Amino acid sequence: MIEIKKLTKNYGSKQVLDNIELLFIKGNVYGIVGENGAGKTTLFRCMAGIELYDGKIMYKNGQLKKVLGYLPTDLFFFPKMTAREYLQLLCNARQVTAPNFDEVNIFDLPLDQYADTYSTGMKKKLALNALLLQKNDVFILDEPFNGVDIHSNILIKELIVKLKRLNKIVIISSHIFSTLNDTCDYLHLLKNGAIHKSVDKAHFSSIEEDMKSSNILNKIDKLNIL
Amino acid sequence: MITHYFSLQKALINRHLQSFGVNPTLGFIGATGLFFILSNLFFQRIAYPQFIYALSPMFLIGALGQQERTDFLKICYDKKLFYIIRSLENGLITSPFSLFLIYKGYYLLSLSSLLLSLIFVFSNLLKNSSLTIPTPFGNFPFEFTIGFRKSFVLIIAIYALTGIAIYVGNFNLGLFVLLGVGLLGAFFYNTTEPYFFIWIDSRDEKDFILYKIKVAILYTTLLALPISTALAFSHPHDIWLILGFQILSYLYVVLGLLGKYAAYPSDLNLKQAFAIALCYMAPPVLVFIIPLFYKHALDRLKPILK
Repeated sequence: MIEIKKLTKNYGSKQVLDNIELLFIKGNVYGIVGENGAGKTTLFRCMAGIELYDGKIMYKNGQLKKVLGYLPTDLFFFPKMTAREYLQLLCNARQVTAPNFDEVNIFDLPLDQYADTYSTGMKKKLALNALLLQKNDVFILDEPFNGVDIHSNILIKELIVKLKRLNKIVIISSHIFSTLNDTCDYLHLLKNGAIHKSVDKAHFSSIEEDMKSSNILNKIDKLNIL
Repeated sequence: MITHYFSLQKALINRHLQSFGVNPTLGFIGATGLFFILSNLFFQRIAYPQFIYALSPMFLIGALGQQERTDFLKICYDKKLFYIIRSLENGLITSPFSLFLIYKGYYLLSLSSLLLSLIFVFSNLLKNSSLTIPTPFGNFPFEFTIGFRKSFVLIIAIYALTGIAIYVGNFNLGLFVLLGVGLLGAFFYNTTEPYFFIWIDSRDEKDFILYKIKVAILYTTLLALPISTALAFSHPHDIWLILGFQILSYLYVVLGLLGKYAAYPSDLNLKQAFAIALCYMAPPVLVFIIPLFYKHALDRLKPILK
């Protein structure tokens, strides 16, 4: 279980996260939604311990960082490093015995090709594959569906369901509402750095309505496109 | 357009020097003086220095010919302008070396070095991203795997030089090559990894550094093995000397490794760069600098690996 209490984050005078209170329980999938700049990535970075913050993030089963598989939005790959070496690097980092990578290559990636020459979607799939090999207990996936093809999209959705069955905590952010609808048990709507609304699966439509009603149509009208 | 490009490059270099705390004009004068002194030292201390010296600018040119940089220039300029810019860049890098070779009376080598640098503008074979260069360092990425691929040509040259050293019976040249492996290994640690790749490690800062040092020593041994073995067979009576140079190679690699983390996430500052330069000039100083860098590296890594 992960418990977040009074989490606040400021960049200088700008408050990015405002008094966040959240609870994440094993065997559940949580979706964090919100407009660009709402604070989703900052929340994830705080949870990963990459950012300093005020408040508390507590994990009941030891040190969160050591069991956390974090998929950031902006992925980095070393030039002239093959995908196979990337998988090895991430296994070594967690001191996990590397399996036969060809057998666990779930996305059928060309493992002996330099990873930095991969397309955006392939890079995302490789990074996700590496996190799965680390045998993490908690997964934070920031925009896991961005840039991946439809087949992989389905596979990622199935993976999330499988992780849920394995009693893992999965937290994802996405702008594609249907993917959240298919995978999540709970949704939290972030607005201006604060949790605006939290709902269970039965009330997902209210979040969708909430997002639609945030004057999107009025904003388009303001463009005055001819 | 070409003038604008090079003015921009000059401005970028000046900014780097300023961020390093050096006045650009003084930096330029100092670098020229240092280049002259180091080149003279190189010619005094090394056997057959002219050949290594003539090839050394190619090492720097390799960095300018990176695929992404080349692609960017190709997008910005038409074909003719692109080749002019790249030729001028390579020529400018090589010219101090060529001038020094002329000063030493090696006219033909000077011209060859310059011509070779121009050929490098058109050579893109090893930079072809579809060509994966196999390495024996895949089990513990990333410094040696990436470094090996980036310096592939130089490594072949190093092994060839070992062959020449044994063939002509120049043991000192062989020892220098062995030391060169250490310097090359230290250079592999120039690549600073993003925060994520340290953060993701489950070790604490001490274990992390220890793990990195173990890998560095293992892979330096592997890279130097053909050289040390060949030297040991050709000069069995000098085995202790070979071992001594091998240990010195390890120390330089460890220095490079610790230097990176002592400065992390920034680049080396002026004091650290000076300390490293001092270690190159006077190896006994390593005994003091390595523990100092180790302590600084632990301080830098502790907040990330806590």
